[in-house]
Formats: sequence, C-alpha cells, structure tokens
Amino acid sequence: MGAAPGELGDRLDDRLEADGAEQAQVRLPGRGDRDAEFSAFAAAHGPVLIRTAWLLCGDRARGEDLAQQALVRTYLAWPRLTDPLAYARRAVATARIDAWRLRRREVLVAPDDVVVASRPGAGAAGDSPEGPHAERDLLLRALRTLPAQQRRIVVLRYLVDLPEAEVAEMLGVSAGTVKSTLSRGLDRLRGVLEAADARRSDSTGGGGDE
Amino acid sequence: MSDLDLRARFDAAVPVRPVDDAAVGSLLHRARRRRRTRQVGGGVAAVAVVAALAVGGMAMLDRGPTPPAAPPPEETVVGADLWLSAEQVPPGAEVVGVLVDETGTGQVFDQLASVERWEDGAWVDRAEPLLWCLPTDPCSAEVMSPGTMVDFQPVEITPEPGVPGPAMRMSTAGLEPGWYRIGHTSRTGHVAAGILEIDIDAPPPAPLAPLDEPLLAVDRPVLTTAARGPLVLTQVVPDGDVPRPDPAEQARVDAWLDGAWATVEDEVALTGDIGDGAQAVMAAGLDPGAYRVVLSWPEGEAWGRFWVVVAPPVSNEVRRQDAEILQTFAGLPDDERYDLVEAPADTASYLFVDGDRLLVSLAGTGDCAGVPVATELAGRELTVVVREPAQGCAPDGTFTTYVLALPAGVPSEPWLTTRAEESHDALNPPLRLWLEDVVAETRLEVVPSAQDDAASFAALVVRPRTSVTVLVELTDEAEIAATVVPGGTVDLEGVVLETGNSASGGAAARFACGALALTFLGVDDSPEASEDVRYVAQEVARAAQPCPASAEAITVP
Repeated sequence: MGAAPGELGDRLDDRLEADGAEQAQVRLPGRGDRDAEFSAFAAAHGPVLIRTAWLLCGDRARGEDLAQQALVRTYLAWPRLTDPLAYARRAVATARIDAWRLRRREVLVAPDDVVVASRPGAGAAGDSPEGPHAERDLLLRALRTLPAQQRRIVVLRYLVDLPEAEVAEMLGVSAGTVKSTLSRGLDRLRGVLEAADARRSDSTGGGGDE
Repeated sequence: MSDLDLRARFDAAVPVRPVDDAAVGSLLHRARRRRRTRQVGGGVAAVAVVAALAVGGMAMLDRGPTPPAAPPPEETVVGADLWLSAEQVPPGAEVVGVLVDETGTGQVFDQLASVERWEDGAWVDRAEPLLWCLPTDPCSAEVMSPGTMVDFQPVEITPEPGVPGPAMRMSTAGLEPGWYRIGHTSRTGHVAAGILEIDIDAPPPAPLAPLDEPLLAVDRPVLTTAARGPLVLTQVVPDGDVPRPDPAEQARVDAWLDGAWATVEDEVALTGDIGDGAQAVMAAGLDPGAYRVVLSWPEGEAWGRFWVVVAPPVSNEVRRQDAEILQTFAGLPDDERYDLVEAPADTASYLFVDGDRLLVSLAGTGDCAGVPVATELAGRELTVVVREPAQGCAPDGTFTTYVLALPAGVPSEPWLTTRAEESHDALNPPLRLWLEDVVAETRLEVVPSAQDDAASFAALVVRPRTSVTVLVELTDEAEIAATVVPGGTVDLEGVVLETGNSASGGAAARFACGALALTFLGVDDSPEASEDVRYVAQEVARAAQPCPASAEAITVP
C-alpha cells in the first residue's frame, strides 16, 4: 500500500490496524457537521476562554480578540482534534504568549503603580475610584505586575482552575514547577494587592474597597 | 487575604460573560473566511476524494523499472499553472508545488492532484492521486495507492489571482524514474499542471526544512526578481510542540549555491509579531534561485524555503489601483503632488505627511488597525505593505500594498516611519511622535502604554530605576486639574512646572507646553518617586522647547 501523507498516513494505518481490513470505510464529515459542532463548542466554552484571555492580557477587548483567534484556530484544526477544548485553551495561552513580547515593556509597571495608574479619565479607571471598574482595573494591573510565566500559571491554575497537570502540559513545564510558581505568584499578587488596597484606603480617608 | 477572598475578588470583577448566538455566528463566519484565506475550504472537495478514488479497483498499471526514452512535450499554460520547485530530481527527493491562477477571475482547486506517468508517448493516469501537504501541516505527501479511502477532508485551494498559492509539499518516494504530470483541474475547468522528471542521476535539490523540527511556512513562496512585498513567516511545529513564544530577533537569507547554503543577506529587516505569531521580512533584489529564510532566537533557529524566478508564474504581485484615490483616500495634502502609482481601493489604513516624514498611520479604533509590516524605498519610489484588519479587528492575512512615487523635495533619507507596532500606538500618532521626538533629546526612553485615546497619549518614560507615566493632552480637552494636586511650582526656562500629587496620592507634576498639557505620574509618593517625576518632567520640559503653539501644528495635516 502506498503511503499517505503524514498524519493522514498515521490515521489510515491506525484505522487499518483497528479494522483488520484491507480498506477502511470511514466518514467524511461535511461542513455542516463541523459548523454545528463548532458553534455549540464556541457557545459552551467561549465565555471561559474569553475570560481567560482577558485575565492574561488585562484588557477585555483584546482578550475577546485573543479568544476569537484561538477559537478560529480551533475551527481550522477541528477535524483532527481529539480534545478541542484543550487545544483552544492552549491556543489562548499561545496567542497571549505571542503578543507578550510586543508588550513586554508594560511589565515595567512597578508593583506600586497599580493605584497611581488608575487615574481619572483613563478608560476603565476613569469611573469612580471606588467603583467596580476601579476594582477590576486594580486587579488586572496587579496581575500584570507578575512576570509572564507567573501570570500564566496564576491565571490558568488558580483563577481559571485548570488541573495542575493540564497547566504543566500546556506550558511545557513540570507539575512541580506549576506548584512552586503558583505559590510565589500568589504571594506576590497578594502583596501587591494588599499594598494597593492600603494606599487606596488611605487616599480615600480610610474607606473600604467597595 | 485568603485564597477564597482573592479568588472571589477576581470572580466578581472579571466575570464569565455569556456569548450570544449572534456572536457565535459572527465567529463562525470569521472562522470560515479564515479557512478560505488559508486556502482551507469546504465540503465539495470531500466528494472529489471519493470520486477520484472510486477507480481504485482498477488494475494497477505496470511499474516498469525502465523509464520511457522520449520525454513528454512541454505543457502549455492556459489560465492556471502548477509551478514545481524542480523539474528534475532523484528518486525520493521532495518537491514543492505552487498553484497559480492566471485567469484573474479566481479559481478554486482541490488539494487533491492527479498523477500521470508518461508511458509510450502518452500520459497515463495511474489512479494514484496525490493529496498535497499544505504549509500548516508538517508533512510531505506521497502518492496514494489506488483504492485508498481517507479519513480526511481535502480542502479547496484558492490562490489570489496572479499571486502564488501556498507552498505544497510532496515526496517522490515510491515513484520510479520517469516523467510525471501532476495536475489540478479547477472548478471552472482550467488545468494547472506541472511536469516532474525523476532521474537517478539528477542532482539533489535544495533541501526543504526538516519536518521533525519547528519550521517556517512562507507566504508567497515564489518571487520574481522584481518582487515587492513581504515574506510572511509563520512557525509550524510538529504535533505536540508549541511555537516559540517570542518573536525571532534576527533574520537572514541563505541561497543554495554549489550544494550548500550560503548566506546572502545576514541582517534582513524583520518585523515584530504581526498577528498570530507571524513575522515578516522584506526580500527584494535577489537573483533567481533557491533560498531559505532563517529566523533566529536565542535558543535556536527555524527556516523555511522560497524561490526567486525571472518570469511568471508570478505575474502581478502588487494590486494595481486607480490613481484618483490619491486625493480621496491617502490623505495627502492638496498642495503636494504625489504620484500614487498603486494604492488600495478599500482599506482601513491611510498615509499622511508629517513634516518631512510620510507616515503610514492606522485608522479605526485601537484594536482595529492595520499594521505596516514592510517598507521598501527604491530610488524615489516607496512601497509600503500594510496588513489589514478584518471585521472583528484581528489581522486576517490580507495585505495591501501602497506604492508612491515621491515628489522632488521630499527627503530620501530614512524619513519614512511606520508606527504602530501595536495598534494602540497609532491612535494619536502626532502626539506620540511629538513626545518621541522630544524624549529623543534626552536620555529617557518612551515605551507604549495602553491609555491612548483621541485627545491624549500616554507613555511610560523610563529611567534606569523606575518609570514615569506621561500624559500628553491637548489643552482644550485636557482635564489636568483633576489629575494633579499642586504642592508647589518650579520655574524652568519658560515653563512653570507644578509639582504635587496625583489624585491617587502618587508623586505627580505637570506643565503647560503651548497647545499641550503634560502630566507626569510616579509610581508612588516616596521621595524617590517624587525625584524621578521631577527629573523626567524637567528633562521633557527642557527638550520640548519651543512648545507647539497650536493643535494644528501637531495634528494630521
């Protein structure tokens, strides 16, 4: 039998082995199947993917776009995916990683800058300093003070609650690295937020966060 | 703060929001379009597989070990062509095929090709089709045995008219010496075919990138010697791997000379990430031949192949447009007479003149901007390639090429500036450019910030130990009183610098500079931050002289 190309050949070989047949009669999925399956997938998992990207990049619109890019990639790869959700999650992380380099200097935002930067008139932070937008801005800026790998692990493992093993596989690190990096990342995140909360409380006359 | 509190804060502030049906529909539409853009198409081709393979029960033709003596006649190209990277290869060599639509009307081809062998003065269909491997699939296709049924959905390939399609990869493994005709028939009946001779004495062609390592897919794999435009490079990795996360730092071009790779351009201009992890390089002025472009990261390299030819199949690499667009679209001032040689008719980006510089700027909102990926200045003719945004804002791989013939008097030094490595940089290019020009006179550095809007520009100005956020605003729209609580003033040369604290308590300073208001925000209210803010403000104030007298002096002409 002549070889088929790459993955196709592998699939054929697997199928022939499984069937023990000379030829494998298989399904050729039509576009309608893919579209319907993908639409259901996007509706079910899109929201969490968007939130993941939002947390990773710190900007909602950009997060939505990153998630869309990931879902488009997922659609393109749909026929050969055995676990579309894992693929989409990794695509979100990869997409964000792709863009991180361009924004690497934004990480120069110092930990103490998370409140200062929340100036009136600056987008989301332009709402009431004590309102939900300010809180979101504060949290996202605090996240952005974490080094990239720490941020990814904190978001994926802690905030999105993915299993440790999946995060490790997704990022190409060991489970132990996920655990230790998460611990350090959370310590730092707490420290940044506690300091920011304290300063915010001082600047507003001792009021609470909300 | 407990884990529960921390997680709850994030859950409340950054909630999961449902996606409605319209959004899913829009996403599906985008995905379908992207699929077509990538020459990955729909279900008709699946039927083609079955049809092509339905003859599988036919007897296999004799595979005589002796190749036919008389070669086949040359193919006449009518409307479509299959360009092959080699005409003659030894058995087992790999070959790249590129479909070219020369009808100008748009042709749709199948991924599946027929393979005929030259036998006794005629082409004989051996019923052994070839399912090309596409650039995003790291594999090398081989002809299939008759009767093979495949669990695979072949795709449509729709090369842009006059522009090379994707670089498809095949191996000649299993093919005996002889001549083979690889053909694709388009939906409209045009046949794109290429002839390949397999000869045991043929020299090996330049190798293709190994499939078990990360490699580069090269958009526009065949160039003419007069080619303009970028090579867009995308990492392709073996299954289970992930692309390198950061953009490559260097690029070079090697030529295949005397059986080995030799570097012909060791520092090729390289863009950053232009979307989806792709980067672009400008390749121009190369002699005909076989090349590879190599991207370098600190931890290694990856490469992809391209070819330069003297003649078609690449006949029309730059879309030609109506020169009238010059006045209506490009935004050039009326008193200038630029000869717009070629320009896009429909695009989100535009050009404008800023002093002695011609800028490629980006319209739309922050996440919906085109990205200039390459420029080339040859004589007084300028080529700018912009990757356009798609609906939904992400770059969709559509490139628009502008070509301007420059008028006399415009400096030909490196006056061209393409901005907006990130889309938000372009929202107010005049303010950003003004600040960059000012800061260039100091020992500070401007880096992007995400706070741009129509009337202000924010940047971080970096000192070795810290950073200061700078807001540059037009005074008629600025609300600087709410930003800085003054604590004192410092008289500089013609500038009164107000120092104090921001509304959030951090160190801050501000001063008016003609039509602009500049505000400086430190990282906190420590003495060090106050010193940093004052230092940065003083440096900028000094370098900003003379301040622009009006908004018109710093806005788009």
